[in-house]
Amino acid sequence: MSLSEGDQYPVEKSAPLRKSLPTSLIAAGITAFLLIFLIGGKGRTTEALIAGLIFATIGGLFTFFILRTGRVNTSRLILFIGMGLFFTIAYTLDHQVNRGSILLTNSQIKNADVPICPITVPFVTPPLVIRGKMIFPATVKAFWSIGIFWLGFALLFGRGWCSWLCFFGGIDQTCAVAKKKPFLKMEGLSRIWRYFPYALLLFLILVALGFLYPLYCAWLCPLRIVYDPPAVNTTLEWLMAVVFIVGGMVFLIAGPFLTKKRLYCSLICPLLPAAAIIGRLSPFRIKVDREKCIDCGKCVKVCETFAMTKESVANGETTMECAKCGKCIDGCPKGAIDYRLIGTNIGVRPVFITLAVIFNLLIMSTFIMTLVDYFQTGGIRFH
Amino acid sequence: MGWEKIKAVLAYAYMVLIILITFALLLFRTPR
Repeated sequence: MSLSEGDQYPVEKSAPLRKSLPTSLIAAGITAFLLIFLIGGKGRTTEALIAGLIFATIGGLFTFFILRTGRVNTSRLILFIGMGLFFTIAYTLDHQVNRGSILLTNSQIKNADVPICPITVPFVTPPLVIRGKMIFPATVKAFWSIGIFWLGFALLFGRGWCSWLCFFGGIDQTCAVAKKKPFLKMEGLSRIWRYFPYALLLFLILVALGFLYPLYCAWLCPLRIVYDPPAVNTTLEWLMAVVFIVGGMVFLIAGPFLTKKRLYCSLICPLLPAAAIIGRLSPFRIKVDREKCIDCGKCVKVCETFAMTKESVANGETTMECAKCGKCIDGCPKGAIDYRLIGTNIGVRPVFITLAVIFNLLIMSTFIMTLVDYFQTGGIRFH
Repeated sequence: MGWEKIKAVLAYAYMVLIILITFALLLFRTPR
């Protein structure tokens, strides 16, 4: 069969009903079981049942919609941005109620009462393991639970964490989808920028090990424009605030809005290199079918994390920084891109989507249940 | 095809193992 230019190859991205329906029911069942088991474990049977049923329905519907229509990214955006939004509300409310302000105070830092953050895991673990010192102002117990939690997800999804499960990713994600077309075109990264996050993380680990100091949290994290902004009294704190505001504007808000790329998640976040390296062990990969690919470059253009390059597409794969968001899958005019099992050509879209939706909802449900608690009791304990 | 199937079974077993270990550590090793 010969195809002239302009002809369309048949695209078979959507799954038939007999495949998508049972998978969605399984997703709903597992979500309900985990939620009822986890929330019910705290002795709140009625809430657990109601929450379990609601989240199971949502999980089933999202899984069904993604598999049946073959469109991944729209549903993911709703789940991912929704999770970030509920997290931000719960987190901010906790601080307003318990601290009296969203600002981070010095006494909290001294009392090690700052909520632990998964982004710190890659540079807080080395000094904790090697020198036995906890450099983040939180308890070691809280750190290990978030560390185990993050490592499990990184082993399973690799950088899929960054597109489906990270509750900090909603900000630059929202800004990256706000505009229809980019004002500044960025396709691909120079070699220096591609390796910059790896160099930054190495530097942070060395500083953490050498000086037992969380340099990133204290001075660099652009997320502190929203979460735990510093109370500003001294000149030094003013300087800190300026760094956070400039970093937040460039990498979280204005930058992603103008370029349609997730700049913070692609260039700064210490979890990027850590998840990319650990993600080599993830069983999920996004692969390009070279027989169907026409090298149109659309996947390179739409990728928000610079994980598709001309060279990687020519090899039928993404770079190791791929966040498995599915934008390239949706964007490919020939249906040549899909989730595959590592080292094989076996398609694993239903498995990946089911797991990603379930875990997204499990994390999101903890934030929502925190808010429900607050409305029922007036008290909130988020961390 | 046989080798592909073996790899698939191993990968699925690996997934289940990671999920179980993570949940087990979270539930039993860290006080709630």
